[in-house]
Amino acid sequence: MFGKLLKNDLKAQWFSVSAIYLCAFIAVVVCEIGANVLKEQKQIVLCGGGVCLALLIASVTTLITVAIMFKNTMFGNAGYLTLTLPVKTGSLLASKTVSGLIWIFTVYALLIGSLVLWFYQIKTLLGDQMTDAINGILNIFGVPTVKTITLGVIIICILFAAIILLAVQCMYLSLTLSQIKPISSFGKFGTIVLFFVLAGGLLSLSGTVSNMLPLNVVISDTAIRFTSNVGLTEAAMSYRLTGTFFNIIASIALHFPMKFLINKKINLK
Amino acid sequence: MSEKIIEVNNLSKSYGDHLVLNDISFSLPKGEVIGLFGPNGCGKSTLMKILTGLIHDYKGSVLIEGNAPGDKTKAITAYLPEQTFIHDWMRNIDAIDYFNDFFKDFDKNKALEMLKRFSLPEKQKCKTMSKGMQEKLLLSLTMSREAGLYILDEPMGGVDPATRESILKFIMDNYTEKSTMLISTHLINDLQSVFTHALFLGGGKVLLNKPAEELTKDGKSIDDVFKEVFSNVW
Repeated sequence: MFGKLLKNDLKAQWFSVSAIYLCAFIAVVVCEIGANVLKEQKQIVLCGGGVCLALLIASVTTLITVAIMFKNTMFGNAGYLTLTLPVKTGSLLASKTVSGLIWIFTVYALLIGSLVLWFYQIKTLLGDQMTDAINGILNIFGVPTVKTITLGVIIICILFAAIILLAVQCMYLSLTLSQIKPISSFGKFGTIVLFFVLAGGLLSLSGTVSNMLPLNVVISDTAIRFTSNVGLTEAAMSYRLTGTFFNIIASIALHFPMKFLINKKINLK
Repeated sequence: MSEKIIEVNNLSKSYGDHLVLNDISFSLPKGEVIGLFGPNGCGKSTLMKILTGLIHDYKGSVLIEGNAPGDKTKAITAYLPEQTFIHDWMRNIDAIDYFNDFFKDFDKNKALEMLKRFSLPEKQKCKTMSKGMQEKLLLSLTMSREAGLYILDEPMGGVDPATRESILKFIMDNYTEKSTMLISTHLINDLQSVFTHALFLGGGKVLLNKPAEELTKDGKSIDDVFKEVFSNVW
């Protein structure tokens, strides 16, 4: 049954996100054509930036669209169908989370891809000589090299995916809680505040847990290693993993209060 | 007494300070077409939402075929709410496929036949249709299930009088005696010939729960009984 739920949720969300994807695609095409037509360095960099901006806007809009779809299909008129299906509430929620994440991660992957492309466009423009010179300067000041930074960005993208997961779950929980009095009396404003309180609270808790139980991934030119030691002796980049684990566990845990609220507290109007 | 499909004990539900259902208890027989009557705001839709598992914060117990509203009862209950519940993205054919995916008792061919009968194009977007057309689609979807219990909330509220008769015929053509139907309506005159049982709600209480035969034995119609009962309440 989960497969059928997921299939239908993806279809439903595609109906809304396809317009966003189309707009982002047009923006990307325009920027890329611009970059190829204009030969000036500055304009090429600006066009690359335009692509990234278009995809960044698409990412945020997709996130908002996924939230609206969740609200409409669970608590709007369509909820009369969704909530009378002979399926477990847990499956309903899991399907909405997975389908939402698929669309968000798709646009997120495109954003990362365009950032990488932009980076290489700039690198090509600068030429190998200039890149080597920058590497040399970075080494003198003990700053990680371009290679380390590139690896670091990849790790950041992976770790950020856990934050997106947490954000989606916080969003769904806020929308669920805002169906219940007294939060419902604050309307959309209440939902937005609740989202920021929940997400902010959990992220700061994640930071505290990271400080208490430090487990870091350290990236340098030569290796990627895991350590609980925060101090770095070389030009490397370090990321806290405990926080990421916390974010994933918290996201899974948020599923249960949502399930409880839908099963026991929420009435369809 | 015949087998019961719905059993309600000491059910109370309020919205804020407003008590809609006040400690009501009743049971409804299986295999009947039951009319749920009462004035606006007497709790008919609330009762239906409780039976379909859409309202949870009530007091008392509600059982359908011995089970509290949940996955098991949802599998045997076909519910037609007042609201248009079809998702915005769906075309008529998508709505049929959706029902076919989730309800084991759904007959896709029957639904497709019904679309033709109501002249509803398969590929038309549901949200572009008129209220009457949407209502026909929702009825087609609901009645294409071979459910144990049909709960229809104002099934003809948005259709013109000419269409009402064909919808009524349609409902009864698709009803089998194995099933039970609970229909709430204000259009008692149009529907009274099909009811075999009546449940009257008013002032938060059950005012009457009797077979239609018993109500009409003095030559009265259900509509007459309705007027009689509610003239005493208000």
